[in-house]
Amino acid sequence: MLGSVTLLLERLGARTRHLAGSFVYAVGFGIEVARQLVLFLFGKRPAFRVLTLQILFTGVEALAIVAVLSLSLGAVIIIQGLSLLPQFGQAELTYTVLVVVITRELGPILTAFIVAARSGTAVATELGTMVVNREIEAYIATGVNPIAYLVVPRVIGVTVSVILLNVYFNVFGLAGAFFASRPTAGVALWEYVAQLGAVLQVRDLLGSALKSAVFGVIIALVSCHHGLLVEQASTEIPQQAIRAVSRCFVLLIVVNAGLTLVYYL
Amino acid sequence: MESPATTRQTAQERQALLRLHGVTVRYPDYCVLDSLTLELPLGSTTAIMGPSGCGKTTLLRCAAGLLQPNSGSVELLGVDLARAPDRELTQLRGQMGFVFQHGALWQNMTVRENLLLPLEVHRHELTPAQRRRTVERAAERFDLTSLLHLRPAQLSGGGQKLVAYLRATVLHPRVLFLDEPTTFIDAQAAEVLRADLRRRVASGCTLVAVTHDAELTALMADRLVVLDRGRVLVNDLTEHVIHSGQPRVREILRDVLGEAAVYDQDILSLLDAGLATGGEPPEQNYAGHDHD
Repeated sequence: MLGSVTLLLERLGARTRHLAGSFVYAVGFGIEVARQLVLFLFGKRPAFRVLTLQILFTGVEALAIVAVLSLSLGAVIIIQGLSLLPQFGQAELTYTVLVVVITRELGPILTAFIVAARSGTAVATELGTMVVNREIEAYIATGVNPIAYLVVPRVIGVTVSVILLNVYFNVFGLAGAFFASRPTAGVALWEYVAQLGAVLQVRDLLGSALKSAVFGVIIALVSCHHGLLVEQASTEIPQQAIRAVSRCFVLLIVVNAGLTLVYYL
Repeated sequence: MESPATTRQTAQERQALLRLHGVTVRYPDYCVLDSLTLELPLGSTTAIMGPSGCGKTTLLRCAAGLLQPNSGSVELLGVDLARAPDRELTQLRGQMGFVFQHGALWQNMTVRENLLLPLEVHRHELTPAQRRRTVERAAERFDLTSLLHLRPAQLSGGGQKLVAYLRATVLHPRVLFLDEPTTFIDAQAAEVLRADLRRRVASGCTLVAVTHDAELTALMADRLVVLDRGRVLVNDLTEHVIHSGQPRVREILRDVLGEAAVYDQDILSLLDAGLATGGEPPEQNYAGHDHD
């Protein structure tokens, strides 16, 4: 009995130590990224090419999927709004719902999900592979700081991409809503724009952009962190990639809830 | 007031290339380096040998500051690697090169970009055109000019190893760390590499190599460090180590270099042969051998 209690306590202690160690490492990683980010923004930028490639992969190559998704969702939301809300005598809320759902909520979170699934796995896998191939050590041996050269451009690239994809999502989502409302409810373009303009506030756009920026930083940091946690074996790479994406999803949902709460305080 | 002897001693100490003191590298289930202490002088050419898994590569990575030991201190060219500020470490990197066992070329760059990056980091005084010219001249020496536009994955193993060597030496470092530089490459490529190492040794470059290559050892090593189970068994001049009476040292040398090197020919005769071997290596195509 005493033996099993001791064993349980030992395991609990080891787990706590491990979690505390991981937390301290993650905090240290975040601080170093922040320090290198400042140096990157105000100093020389040898990693400009890495940044450009990251924006190309994360932002530009995701445009098609974001377009399809946002057009379809915009159409679905307006069709549901136009058919349901008048039944409750709330037809005038259709555009408010559209702005709330597309601009404030779905735009930031869905683009973040898309980027986490596409680029988060790619970043974690790429960095993990570089660790296993000793490419990271080759950077260190050459005098290149891997955080400055590999992580910081990815943080900036992913964040900028998520913000731009969110703008793109909004434009296409609202366009999709118009294209769907035209044949179903006969809404004219000028009327649609006027209704939208009446409910869409600068605060909505800024809140949406802020969410995207926070989500971009989360995705990039978590993905880079997990990629660099790979130690020696190539079998660790997919494990860390999966952990990176699942942790991104959890963090994105939780942080989104927190930010939405702050928005309405 | 310092005596002349003390001053001489201090000057000699300053000349130390590498000092590892009580270095321990431990993983959860085993200890790779066990409180290892080692000192190598500047200007020496050292071969590190030992049975597989004894910690040779780990020692080299610690020595070059690529791996932080669990305990102990590492000093390279008078710089404490754990305490030096970033700027000092970056300057130190500009004076050293590291050839990885499997090349470790940056796969997302071309061969040219792999060779350019060290120059971009450390040779700010050069214009981009001058850097490109430096890379082209270096590639010409190894007959790699036609491969500069390729990605590392498009090269053969030998080609990748030579590019890795070229990347490590493009800055003409004072210290060159080599991890099994001649493994995985064919005899011709190995000869190309040995010839260049010979030139570097002659020009005063300090070499520290982990190797099983008897010919390379004979060619370059004036010191041998024999490791066993994470500890230094012996660190002395090559001729002293070769003639060592320690049974474990002889056993390891026989296993690593082959019986002939120790008993029949004697590594010192190989040393003479190595130094006598000169001339330019034959031309060779390094692209895509592995896919033939």
